[in-house]
Amino acid sequence: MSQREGTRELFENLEGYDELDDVDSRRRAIRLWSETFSEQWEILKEDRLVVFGAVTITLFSLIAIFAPFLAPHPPTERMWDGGMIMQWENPLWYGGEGGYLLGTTAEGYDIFSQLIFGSRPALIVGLSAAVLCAGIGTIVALVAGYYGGRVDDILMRIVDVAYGLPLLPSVILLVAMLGPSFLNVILAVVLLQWRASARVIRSQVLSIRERPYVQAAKVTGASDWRIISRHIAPNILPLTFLYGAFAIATGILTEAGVSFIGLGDPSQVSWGTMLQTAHTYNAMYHQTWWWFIPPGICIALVVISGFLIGRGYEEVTNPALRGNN
Amino acid sequence: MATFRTPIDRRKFLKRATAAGTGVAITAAAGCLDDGEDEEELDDEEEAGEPLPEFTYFNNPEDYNPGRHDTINLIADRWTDEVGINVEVEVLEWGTLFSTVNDEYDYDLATWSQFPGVDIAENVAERFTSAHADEPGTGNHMGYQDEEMDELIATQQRTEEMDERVEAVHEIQEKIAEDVPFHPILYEAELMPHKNDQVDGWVDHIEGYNRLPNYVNVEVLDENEDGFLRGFWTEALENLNPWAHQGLSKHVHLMDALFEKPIHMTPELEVDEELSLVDDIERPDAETIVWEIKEDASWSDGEPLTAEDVAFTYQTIVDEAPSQYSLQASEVAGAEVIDEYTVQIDLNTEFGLAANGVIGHPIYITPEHVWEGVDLPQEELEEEPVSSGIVEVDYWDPGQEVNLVARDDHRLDFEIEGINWEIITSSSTIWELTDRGEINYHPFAQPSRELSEAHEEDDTLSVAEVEGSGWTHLNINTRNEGLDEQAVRQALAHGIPKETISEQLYYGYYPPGHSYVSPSFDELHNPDVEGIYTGDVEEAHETLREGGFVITDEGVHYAD
Amino acid sequence: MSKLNFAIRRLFQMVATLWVIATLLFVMFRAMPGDPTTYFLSEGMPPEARERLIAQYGLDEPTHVQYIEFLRSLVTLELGISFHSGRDVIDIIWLYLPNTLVLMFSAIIFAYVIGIPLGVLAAWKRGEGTEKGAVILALVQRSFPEFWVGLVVLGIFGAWLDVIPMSGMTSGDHRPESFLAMITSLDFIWHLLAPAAVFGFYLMGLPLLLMRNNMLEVLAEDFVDVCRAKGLSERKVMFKHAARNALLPIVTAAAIAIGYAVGGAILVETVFSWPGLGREMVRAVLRRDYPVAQGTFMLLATTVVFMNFVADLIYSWLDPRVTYE
Repeated sequence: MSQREGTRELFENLEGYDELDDVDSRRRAIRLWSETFSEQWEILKEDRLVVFGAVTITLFSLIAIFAPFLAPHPPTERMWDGGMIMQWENPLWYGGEGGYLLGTTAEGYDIFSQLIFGSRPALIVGLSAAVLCAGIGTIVALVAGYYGGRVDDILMRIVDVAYGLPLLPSVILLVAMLGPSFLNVILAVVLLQWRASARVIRSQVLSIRERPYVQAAKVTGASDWRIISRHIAPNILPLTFLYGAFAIATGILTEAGVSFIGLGDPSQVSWGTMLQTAHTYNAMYHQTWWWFIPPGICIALVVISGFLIGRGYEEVTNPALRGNN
Repeated sequence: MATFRTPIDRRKFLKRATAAGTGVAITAAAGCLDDGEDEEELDDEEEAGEPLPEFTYFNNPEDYNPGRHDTINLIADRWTDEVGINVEVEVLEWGTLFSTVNDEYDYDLATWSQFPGVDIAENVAERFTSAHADEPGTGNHMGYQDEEMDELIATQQRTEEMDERVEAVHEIQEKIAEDVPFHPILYEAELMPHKNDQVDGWVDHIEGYNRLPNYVNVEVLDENEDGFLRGFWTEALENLNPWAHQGLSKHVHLMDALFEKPIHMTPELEVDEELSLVDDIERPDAETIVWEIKEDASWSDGEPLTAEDVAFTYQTIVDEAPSQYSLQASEVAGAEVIDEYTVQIDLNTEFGLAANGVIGHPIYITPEHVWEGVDLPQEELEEEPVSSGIVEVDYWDPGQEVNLVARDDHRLDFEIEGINWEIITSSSTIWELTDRGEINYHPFAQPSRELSEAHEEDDTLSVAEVEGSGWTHLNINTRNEGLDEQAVRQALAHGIPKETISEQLYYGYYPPGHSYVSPSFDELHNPDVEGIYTGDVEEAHETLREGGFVITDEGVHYAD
Repeated sequence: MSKLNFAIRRLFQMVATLWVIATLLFVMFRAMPGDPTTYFLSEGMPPEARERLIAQYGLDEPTHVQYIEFLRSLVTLELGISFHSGRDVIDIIWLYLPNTLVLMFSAIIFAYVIGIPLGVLAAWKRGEGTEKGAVILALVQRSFPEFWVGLVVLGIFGAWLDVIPMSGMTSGDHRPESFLAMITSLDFIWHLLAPAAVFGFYLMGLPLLLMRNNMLEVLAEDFVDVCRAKGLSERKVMFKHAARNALLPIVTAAAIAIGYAVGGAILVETVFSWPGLGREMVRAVLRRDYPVAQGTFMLLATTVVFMNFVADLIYSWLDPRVTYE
């Protein structure tokens, strides 16, 4: 992503607050932040695609939270008919017996229930990757960009190293060594993906640091923390969200890819492990597409929602991209 | 298809496993089947002492072997939910799994497949010798120690009398069935799916269909234009070095066509006089073997194959101890040439009938003029070996294909013009190519829905089947608390739903297993051992009660 | 600072980055819990063989000696011998790397040749349905797991319609004389079609979006209005003048993308049984063939770092606006 100059200075007009006393400052800080959010939301909600993304993610989050109530069966409970495992049962709308909405797997698990429960790891991986990548990236960027000098140099060389690591091979190596589990997938994704937000946000911080109101605050003796949290952080917030939203996508796709290769968490059902099992049992060859297509669609829906929200933020940060301006 | 019906009766204690936190989820769908009807009386909780510890059951990753992965999950569920013995499944990468069990002896329960080969002498000694229990890596990971067993193992190896051997081997099977440090879940049948309009005439052999007895016997039919056996393997071949096949099927299948072996066995498990390199066997005493070898064997570079090569091969085994021949390296003392076609093998221990299967059968003879002076031959990469078998290497690209062409000047008569394998990783591709007739035999075959459907629907696809020497089996670490109780081990064996596994997870291709020595060993197999453990949960409970355990709705407990 | 000085400084930075990555790799393989040698030695190896390998790899030496030896082996490309096949690691790399490169370049060319014009079109038709359609297409391309798309393509065009081969690079009866003869044969191109298209489909989102964004920025500049004032047709303005100026960041992005694509091809290679380097790395990792895993990973990382370096050079050479302070 190219560097972005000319981001709107959302907070320039809030300059005067610095002179107020500390008792009010917390309340004002809260107001300041909530104004930021609501202003951004005003821009975002005009874009139907962003709303679609937000709704989809919310929907999947609800599904994940209420999975046990929505799924007719636990995800790895075998279905029996008399003494026989109900393997490869067709969906109920396709002449299947037992009333399974999407039929059963080769092992006799209910596919629909697996799909419902599969939303949990996907969202956990996606959202934690998002929060951690964007969070770490932003903190590094603020520190490097604000303090500059040697700190900046060291941090940016670390970013360079992180940029030298190919994503999927590195994640595969890490997960293989640490052991296949969701925690390790998240860890590996975060270790690699904070780099993007760190580099781009840092250059933003560099330019904001030089702006008159920041310089003015420095002159009045405001603490570093105050300057960072009041003047700089709110301005780079859209970028943080932008990279957070993209990290949802990276996290989910990486988890699916790693599972597909056979390094998924064997103790949990995720969309990625579902696809791997379907592939192992040749679901496509047997034309049982109801086992194979839905997890791919679900992954794509969540990922594209992340992208759509991210794209919305991209337009917040870079008005040149907004249509009709 | 055999009928199986072990009624699924989930008990109250089963609900614990699935109910946690799931308000609406139907916890025991399977439990609805015959709820309450033949509900067994549970014991009084007051008699119960400490609960039995929870055991860990190692499983291989799903994509490594889906049928076995599912089998292990199914068994673990059954033990936990119905027998009342808590078992947790832990998935380990195959190499790690095997080394944790075999090199470290650090496990509770583990399952894999194994093939003892044409003679069980090697496997039984490795697995059940008491001394091996104390030394990790030597084979007795079950920690099974029994003096009587040690004696039986020695007897069956040493004896020259078939009757005595049969008696000892029968007794070994009974002991294993009673003590259950090991239990076969299924007998692994050897399968050969093939296009019956291209190749036919497969010979049912305990070694399976990918060995010399089949290569020289298959008939080439009209639809097969170039006379090749056309197969595949699912991963790249590593090496064509006869010192480095590591016992891997993909290598051994080809080695058998590429190299002479001193001894081949007939389907009746007698020495095959035609196929064996050895023409005549003499046994001056129990620690000496003298072989006279055939005079018309030759290497593909034109050199004759002589006693020098045989002696060189055995001497190298002693000197270099490559891991694939570790047993022979310890049993053979040395080899010497008597004359151009006579060689003498000296042994460290006494061998009777078992010598043919253990000392002669597994060894591929290598050319002295190629390997002489090579240190650590097992670490060499060999791309185009000088061969002595019915074929030689024509072309090999490790990631793509291997092409072996028939040696027309070979001493044996056979019809095939060569063997070709493509490396194909996806099984759907394999079945597509089979359908089109581009693949005419399957050197690698596992029971699967694809196999079972093609078998039923494709008239040109036949499957040759024979019970092999191997089993998918359960290993129990008898050192661990709880598993040191015979009754617990027996109950575990009782609880394995063999029929379901055989019929549904293996599509009826692998029959339920019962004895350490499979029925394909003919008279060595002990039929009395069949049918003791059939998957009957009530019998598991009875065994536990007789062993002094108490069963409550919390599961199995020691008596108070 | 001159461009030459910049290049030299960047070169040193590249070497330093590679050194850090190599060091990370070294530490990672040795800092894992348990006996470090177990990660280096293949499973189930007899004790004597194990000891021999320990000596051969110098694992009985003190750590600093091992470290120096490790770096030496990387520099001299003596990467050791595969535990699994007994081949030299460098031979294995030479065996599989060309296959990956062919696949990767075909995919990249496909992605950029189609992606760039679509991006121009999207910018041109800004605010219209075309733009939205193009943007959504780009997001969709990056949202579906590429292995899933690959399997669906195989299922439909391979198994069902039977118009593409199911796997591999060549048909069984094709035995090419040389690599060049192979990759120019019709049979090879027929095999290449599906994997390159699927991979290219995935890669296309980036140039499309990037081109659109750059175009929008360029279109805001003055010279575009000058062109328009001269009475040039809108098509000419877009494709000749604006696009040319927007292309530069795409060139550098493509260089970077090439670096990452070598490792990113893993999943496509796996689905299509393409005998490439990424797939080989995964298999080496799964069967703990560490000399191969280490060697192939280092190569993938080097490609990434090197292409980042190339991208910087291209940028500095081509963009007249870049100055060096």
